[in-house]
Amino acid sequence: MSRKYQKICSLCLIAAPVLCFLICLGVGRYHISLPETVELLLSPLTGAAVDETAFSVIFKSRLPRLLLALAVGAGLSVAGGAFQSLFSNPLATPDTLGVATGASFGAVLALLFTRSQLVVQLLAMAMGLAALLLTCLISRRGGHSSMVMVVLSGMVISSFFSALVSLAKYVADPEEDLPAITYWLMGSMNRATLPGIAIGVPLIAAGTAIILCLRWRLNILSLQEDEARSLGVNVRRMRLAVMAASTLITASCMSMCGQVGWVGLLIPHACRMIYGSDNRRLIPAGIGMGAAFLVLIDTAARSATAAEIPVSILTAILGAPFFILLLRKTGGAKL
Amino acid sequence: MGIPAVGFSTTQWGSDSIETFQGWVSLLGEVLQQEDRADGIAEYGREVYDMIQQRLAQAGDDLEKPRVFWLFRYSSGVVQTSGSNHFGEYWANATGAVNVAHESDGANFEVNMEQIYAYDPDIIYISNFAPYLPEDLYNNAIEGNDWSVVRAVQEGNVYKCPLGMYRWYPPSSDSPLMLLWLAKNHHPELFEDIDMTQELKDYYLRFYNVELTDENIEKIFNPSREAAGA
Repeated sequence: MSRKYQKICSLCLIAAPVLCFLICLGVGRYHISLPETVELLLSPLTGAAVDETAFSVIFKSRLPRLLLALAVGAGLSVAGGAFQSLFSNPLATPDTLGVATGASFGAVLALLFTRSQLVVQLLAMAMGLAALLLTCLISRRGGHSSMVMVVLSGMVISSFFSALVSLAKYVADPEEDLPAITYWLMGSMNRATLPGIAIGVPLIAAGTAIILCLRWRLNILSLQEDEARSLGVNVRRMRLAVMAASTLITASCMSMCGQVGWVGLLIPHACRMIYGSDNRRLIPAGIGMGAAFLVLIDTAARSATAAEIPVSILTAILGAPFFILLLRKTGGAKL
Repeated sequence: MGIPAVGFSTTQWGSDSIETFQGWVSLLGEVLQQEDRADGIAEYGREVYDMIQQRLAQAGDDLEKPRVFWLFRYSSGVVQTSGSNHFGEYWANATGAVNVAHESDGANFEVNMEQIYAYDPDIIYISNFAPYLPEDLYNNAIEGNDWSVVRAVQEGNVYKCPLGMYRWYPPSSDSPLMLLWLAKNHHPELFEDIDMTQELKDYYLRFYNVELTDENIEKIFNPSREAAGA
């Protein structure tokens, strides 16, 4: 694609998350007019008297949720993009190492014993990180681990944890625990609490920042291992850093809003069709596009109908046709 | 395989709790080849229902119908309410109230807080499938959800559904009592003559041959949180 076109896209991708955020702040089931929304937003500064229900809608429902959607959208796109380069595999997703399934199990386990969302979130996080650790341990042979071994170990860990999730569902009380587990697994931005977001979002930001700083090295990591080493990169350390950062992102996202599928696959590919496979531009583009995408999707999830729509269902229903269209149009950009 | 199988439907009778219960009991009677002893319950339920409808009709169209919100399930930040195809719709319609989620066709579905603010219910009922009590809403003690600005909470109109033979929200052998309890709650002026304590004592004696103490009744009307996980 031409330089000029790419430049226009870049501008759009910088503007999109900000615009989507502001517009979606005014959208929801509870009607608040535009002037009122602006007045509300400025009220902490001006001290103006405002309707307390509207205040609660903006500051306790919409703002935290939109922030969460921005962070999760950006984070999952970056983690997905990084894994696709790292494993030189266009089908890699943030769950490739079993992290998301591990986190699911952590959450489900916590749901069997407690109703505290913070405990659920922390245990999900811990099990996500544990899944990465297991994957790394299994893939190491003689102090060395090949990428193929890592991916295969990830698959094994993933199906192991998904069996444990099924086991937990099987033993759960069908009247109270099972519905809670099922809803949790479907994914929703609805249940995140402010303390939870205060823990999770900075971790997503940290993981994203690490990958952003390493993005030019990702180009080298997608080469053959000996080629990469001959370019003077400490391949092992670099891989570990990328894997750890992606895991941090994925586990935090999962722990706050359950499984949000598709974003980590769809967004990096869409960006790749604009910018090619140069990670120096792909990763920042993924941040902008992923954040804007998830903000829009989650706004639809919370305000399209009186019933909350699980966000994963929307990402798949809207994502799949969009992805097919992109693939047909470009014939799939090279990784 | 030749193994006879029987299915008990929860949806065949719409969301009508009395008829659903009657359907279950008569099917059970057929299966066990026993004339059901609970036959009188549905009959009494229809009597109660008719009595309530009659009084509501007498009160005329000007009767103000409270708008009720059902907290059917509530855990880990997920609130589920009753749409027009669930028992909450029946309970509201049968007792002179309006289900705020009436326009959603679903059975039970998840709603977010913003939607609840938009519903602006007069009364909230917490079923025994949810571990929370009215105090939790009054004290705004549930993390992540701000209930303090909801009208029913501000006006002190949050109730926990009673728990007798079974939870009162779904169809049960106590369903006629649920009708009475709700009707009196929604229109105390029309049902002044009904003394719930006495109703419960008579009902339990008549249908279960159980003599309830005041302490028993206190417990039925104030179920514990743990009832949700039973």
